[in-house]
Amino acid sequence: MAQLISIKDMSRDMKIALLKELGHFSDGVFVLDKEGNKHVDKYIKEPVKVENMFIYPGSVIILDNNPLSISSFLEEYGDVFG
Amino acid sequence: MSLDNPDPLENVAKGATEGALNYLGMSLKTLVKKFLDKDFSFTEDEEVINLAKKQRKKAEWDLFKTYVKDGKLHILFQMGLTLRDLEKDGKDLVSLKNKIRTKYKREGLHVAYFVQNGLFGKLIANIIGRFQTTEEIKSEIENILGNIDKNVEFIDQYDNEKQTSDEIVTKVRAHSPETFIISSVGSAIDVCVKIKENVMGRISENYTCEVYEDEDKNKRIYFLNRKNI
Repeated sequence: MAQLISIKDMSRDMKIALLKELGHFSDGVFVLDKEGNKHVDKYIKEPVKVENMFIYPGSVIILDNNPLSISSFLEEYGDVFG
Repeated sequence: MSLDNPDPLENVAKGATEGALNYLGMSLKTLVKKFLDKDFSFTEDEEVINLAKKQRKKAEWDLFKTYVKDGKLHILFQMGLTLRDLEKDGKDLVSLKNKIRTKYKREGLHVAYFVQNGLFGKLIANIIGRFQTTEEIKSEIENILGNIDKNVEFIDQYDNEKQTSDEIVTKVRAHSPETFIISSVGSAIDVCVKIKENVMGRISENYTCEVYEDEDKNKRIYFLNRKNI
C-alpha cells in the first residue's frame, strides 16, 4: 500500500523534475507526455496541471486531484489507501 | 541552474538529479525510488483523497452497493455523498457539479442530487415494505436511478405549478412507474406542496402518496406509489 505524500508545499521546479523522472514533462503549467502533448486525466478528460496532480505508482497514473477523478480511481482500483 | 542549456525543463531536471532539490528532508532521487518501489504516491491536496475515502466508509454506501452493482451509479452515488459533505462544510459545489455534468450529463447530475438530498435512504424506507424480494428491490432502485428524469422531479421555487404538474402527470401516465418521487428543499417546499396536490388530484385512482419531511422541515419528499390493482 503506497503511503500518500502531500506535494502541496513542493516547489514547482521540483514537481517538474519529479515528473521528468517519471517519464513525463511540463510546459510550466500542464503535465505533458513524451510527445509533448498535454496529459489528459483519464476520468474527466481534462489536461492535468502541475499544481493539482495526483500520482499513483505502478503504471504511473497521473490524475487531476479532484473528487470525481479520485472517486473514479478508487472505484476502479479499490481502496488502495486503506 | 546552468545557462548553457537553453531548455529550462532540462536544467531543472539536471539540477534536481544533482541533488539540488529536496522535499520533506528527502532528495528527488529518494522520492523517485520510493515511488518506483510503490511505497509512495503523491497528491496536491490530501483533503480530496480523504474526502473520497470517507464516502466509501459510510453505512449508506455499504447499503447502496449491496443492491446496486453498476459502476457508473457507484461513482454518481459517491459524488452525491461528496456534494452533501461539501455543502455541509460550506465549500464550493460549482466546480464538482460542472465536472459531473460534463461527464455524466444532466441525468447523472440528478442522480448525484438524489443522493445529496438524502433521497436514497427515504427510497429504501419506502420500497422495503412494498417489494417482496431483494431482486425486486434491486431492480426498482436501478430503474429509478437509471431513468431518473422519468421517475423523479426536483422542484425549484420558481417552477410554475400548472406546467410542472402537467409534466409530472404526463410522465406518470406515459411510464406508469411503480414509484414516482417529487422532491423539494427549502424555499421550493411551498410550490412543491401545491404541485403534489394538483398531481394527486389527477392520478389518485392509480397512486397513493407518502410524505417524508426532515426534522428541521427543510426538505419535503413525496413518494407516489402505484396501487396494486
